[in-house]
Order: sequence, then structure tokens, then C-alpha cells
Amino acid sequence: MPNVPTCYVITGSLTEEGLVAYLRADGTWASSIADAHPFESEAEAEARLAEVKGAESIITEPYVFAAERSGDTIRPTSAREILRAEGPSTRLRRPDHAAS
Amino acid sequence: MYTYDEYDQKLVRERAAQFRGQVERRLSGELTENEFKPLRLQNGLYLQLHAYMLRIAIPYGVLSSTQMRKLAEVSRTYDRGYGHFTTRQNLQLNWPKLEDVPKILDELAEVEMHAIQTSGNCIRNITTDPLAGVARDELEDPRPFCEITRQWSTFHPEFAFLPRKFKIAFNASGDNDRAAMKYHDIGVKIVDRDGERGFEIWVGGGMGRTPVISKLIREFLPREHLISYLEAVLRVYNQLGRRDNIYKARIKILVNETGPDEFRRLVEAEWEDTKESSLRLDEAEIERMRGFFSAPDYESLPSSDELLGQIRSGDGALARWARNNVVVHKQPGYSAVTLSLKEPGTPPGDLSDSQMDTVADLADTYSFGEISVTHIQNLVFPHVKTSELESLHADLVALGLATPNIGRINDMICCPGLDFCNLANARSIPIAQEITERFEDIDYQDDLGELALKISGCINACGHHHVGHIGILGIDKRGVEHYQLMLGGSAGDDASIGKILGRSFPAEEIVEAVERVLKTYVDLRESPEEAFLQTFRRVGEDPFRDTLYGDVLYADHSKS
Repeated sequence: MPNVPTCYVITGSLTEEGLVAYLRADGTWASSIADAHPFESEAEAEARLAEVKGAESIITEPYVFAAERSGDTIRPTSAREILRAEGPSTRLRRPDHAAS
Repeated sequence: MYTYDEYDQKLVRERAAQFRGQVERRLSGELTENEFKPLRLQNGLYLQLHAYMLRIAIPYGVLSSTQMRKLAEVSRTYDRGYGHFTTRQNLQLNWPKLEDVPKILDELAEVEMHAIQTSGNCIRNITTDPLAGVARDELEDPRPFCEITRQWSTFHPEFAFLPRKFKIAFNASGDNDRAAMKYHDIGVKIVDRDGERGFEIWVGGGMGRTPVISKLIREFLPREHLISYLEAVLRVYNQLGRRDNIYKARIKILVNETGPDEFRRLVEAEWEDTKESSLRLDEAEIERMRGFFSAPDYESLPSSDELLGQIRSGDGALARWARNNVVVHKQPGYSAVTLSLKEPGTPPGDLSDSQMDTVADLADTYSFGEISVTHIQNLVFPHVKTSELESLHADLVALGLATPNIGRINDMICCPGLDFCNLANARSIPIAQEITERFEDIDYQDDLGELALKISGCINACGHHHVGHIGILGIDKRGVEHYQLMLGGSAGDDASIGKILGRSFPAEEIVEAVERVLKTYVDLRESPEEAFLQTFRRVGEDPFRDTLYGDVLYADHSKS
């Protein structure tokens, strides 16, 4: 059974670099989900999202997703958001035989 | 290979300059993402799960050593030191910054490369046999016709906004289709009829969520009419293809809904009006284009078939590599060599920047500076002296590119999956890596014989799972990655679409399921010479379904 979501997070891609970013409480963007602001309700998150969508030059395609919250830790529940938060699960480049 | 004229050069440079302006406007906020998206896609730039991704075109998979060095430099300077070769014989960079993309396009233009039409609803990169020009079984080199088609389709104003993307492949080797031609929107097969050279035209193939084998729309097209006929097909599609539903927008749906006979009638009627227009190819133009693909300055050597046979008959690593990764050449004394990008522990199709540099050096040393990219995500040195195979093998071993697994289970196609792709539902690369580790024993791989395993992380089928002898499709089950297993597909001239045998497996069980399939095949085959696909077609799916779903371990899948 899927876990019950306990908070909502706003995420998107930084327009300049394309990298994953999470909205902090102060309205700036963090690269780590640990710094994301956990919204108590989906409605609250969606309302903030509507404001964020105006910052097109900073953030691209922002959206809200549900996550688990345990103390100060925010943990995504879907495979997609886990990978976005943690990065690719594979080694990024081949063993570099040519350089050895 | 083809070399740019002043028009090509100007066109590519102006396109890079145009995109620089578009990027500046996007970064300043002048363009919204909705406005920018179609512009970036027309230049091969996606926004993926973790970063932007730039898809660089490699027309019909042909690269020079100079171009490979540039790809190494670009990967090193603007990305994270590697690139990913794709099933359309292109290269993808997974981490470029938006502001750097115009610089990358400038750098690529220096070596006659670009990212034009590698995305968007337009005619994509033309693909063909990686052994084009050297295959002993080909009627003629298809690349001159690929290049003619590339020039016609590049920036064709009528086909810039098709209902959906459009892919064309060429095959010149009869029944030995090495380009998955029957799974393309248009497949062009070079054939002879009554002593005349021309084309079969196949239309409406594709994979994705609705896999379809293409239909033979014209049995023989005189070669001077290639472009006018392609244009007629595109015009019918552009006019009648559905634009109301993205899942029904490919030409395969139009051909199926219209019926091949009516579709043919529509195309032929359109063609009647244009076949004698300026689109008609004259012999001089075909000859001019052939001139770009003339054979390199081969040495005059005796046949090396016997020598290759001797090398293959040994029992060491060189012999196995020569059996699995080397094929005969039409030029006496030469062979074609596949460099495996399927080393255990690495993502299929990936190459580091320093490996790219060394591959370029080796291409200069052994292969007249020419390299081909295969749709199975490997590289080919097309012109290697057979007498130099041993030396090349030693160099490739040092480079990690001599894994002797071409055509074996570990020579798999694998899409980037959920590790990188915004569309994916499940990861592909970790499953591929687990498979390569589980079946790393090359004696076992050789015993299994010819086996094509293909993995996609979603129904879009970039990993060609429908046409794998064994196909794996990643799905999302309530937020958890699962994998469907299908058997019996083929991308060759004997094209067939794999069958799903039952419920999906969680990630921790899918490799064991593959192993069960392999054991069943070994038990059922009539001889070691009977390949997996032959056995599957002979015995049918029931024995494989039984082994997958018929016992206690898998009983829960039949209930869920």
C-alpha cells in the first residue's frame, strides 16, 4: 500500500542549468530536498505554486508533489521523485580505461 | 563521407546564432517556457529529469575521427565527461547548461555537426546499416541516398510541423536488415527488379505504445523518384494524420485506419502530380553524391577470409572476439570490427571523453579515420586490415571496448530510463547492469548464441523492447517500479512483435525471471544451433509462461 503523504513540496528545474530545485520557505530555490519548505496542505502548496509560476526566468515547469515527513526529514514516495532528489542511481561515466 | 558545401556551413552556423538569441531571450525572461520549448526541441534540447539533454545528430551514424574528437572535447568542456549513443545513431549529452548550448552548437558547426531536427514533430535523423559501404551482402552503399534524403528533409518548410515525429531508415542488404527498417515511419529497401536498381517503400512501422510492422506500399520505385515519392507519403500524412490525439498521431495509425490499399492510392495520386517535378533525381546528382562515399584508399591485398578463419579458430580472447565482434568485408584483406559499448558495469551506449579521444586515434590508425554508430548502441570501425586485428584487439582491450559480446544477451539496447528521462516510469540501466553481471560468463553467453535483449523504461519504447527476442518494459505500479517481460520480438527482416506472457515482476525478481526463460530455452532447443527466437517460434509461449508463472515462487503474480 502506498504511504500516506504528510506534506507537499514545490519543485522545478532551474532555467539556467536545468538542475532540480526545491522551493525554500524564503522563496529562494535549493538544490537539496532537505532545504525544501514542507507545506501542510495541498491547497496551500498550490496557492504558492501559482505565485512561483511568475518567475519563469528562474524556474521552469514548477509543480507540487506529495512526500512523507518525519521530523525534519522530507522523503518523496514515488520512484521518480526519489531519483530526482538523489540523482541517477547509476555511475555517471564509464570506467576510464583510456586515462589509465 | 559527405562534406559540407558553403550552403550547409552557412545554414548550420546561422541556426546556432539564431538559437543563441533564443536562449538569451529565455534566460532574460522575455520568452516563457511554453514559447521556448518548441524552439529548443527543434534544436535537440530537452529538459529531462535532472538537467537539460542535448541530442546531437550523427547522420546515418557516420562519424569521422575529427568529429569524434570534437564530441570528446564538448563532453569534457560542457558536460560531465561522457556521452550516450542512442538507437537513432545519435549522441546525447545529459548535463549541459542552457547558456552553454549555443557554444556547443558553434563548436559542432566547426566539424560539420549540429543538433537540428533531433527532436520535435519533424523528419528526424536518417538511419541505416552501420556496415553500409563495406557489407558483403549489400546491393550498393545506401548512404548517398541517405544524404540526399537528409538534404531534402532538413528545414523542409512543409514538414516542419508534422502531426508527430517522423523516422526514415534505409536497408541495402536484402533480408539481412541491420537497421530495423520495418519499424520506421518509412523504410526504404534497395532492391533490383529485372536488372533495374530501385526501392521497395515500406510505410507505417513503429514501436511506442502501439507497435506496428510497416506495410509494403510500393514494390518497386525507380531510384530517380525517391524524393518525389517520399514527399508524396509525407504530404498525405501531413494532411490526414491526426493532430487531436498525440497517441494516434503517428503515420502507423493513419495507415492502419486508412488501410494500406487506400493509403497507397492516396500516395500514388499525390505522386502523379509531382513525380516529374524538380524533385526528380538525375543520374548526375546521384553520382555526385556517390562521390562523397567512395571507398578509402585500400591497399591491394589478397582475400583474408582464410586468415580470419584461422584467428577465429583459436581458443583465446582474440579468437572469441574475432568470432563475435568481427565480420567479413567486401574489400579483400579487410574486416569490419564492432567496438562493444556493453562492458559489464557500464550503462549501455556510454563512452567517456577520453575513450572518445582514443577511439578517434585508433580510427585513424586502423580504419581510415572512419567510425559508424550502430542502432544497437555500439561503434564500428568499418575498414580494418585483417592482418591488424590482433594489434587492434590489444588496443581495444586496454580501452575497455573489446568485450566479445556482440549479438549476445549482454549486447542489449537500453534506454536511459528513469535515471535520466522525464517520460520514464522505471529505471532501465540498473536492470541492464544486473543482467550483464548475472550473465557475465562469456562461455554461457556463447552457448546461448544469438540473443537480442532490449529494455525500455516506459511504453514509448526507446529501448525497442517490443522487438527484443527478450523484451523488458518498465512500468509504474502505484509509484513502485515493475517490469513486464515479453518474448519473441524481432527487428530484422523476419519482423515480429514480442508477446507479454503474464503479470509484471518487481525489480528484485525480473533478472531471475530472465534466467528462467533462458534455462527453459536451453532445455527446449533441439540443438545448440537452434537460436532462442527459432525455439520460441517452434514451441510457442506456453512452456515459457509455465516456467515464469506456474510455480510457487511466482504464484502471487497470477493472483495480483
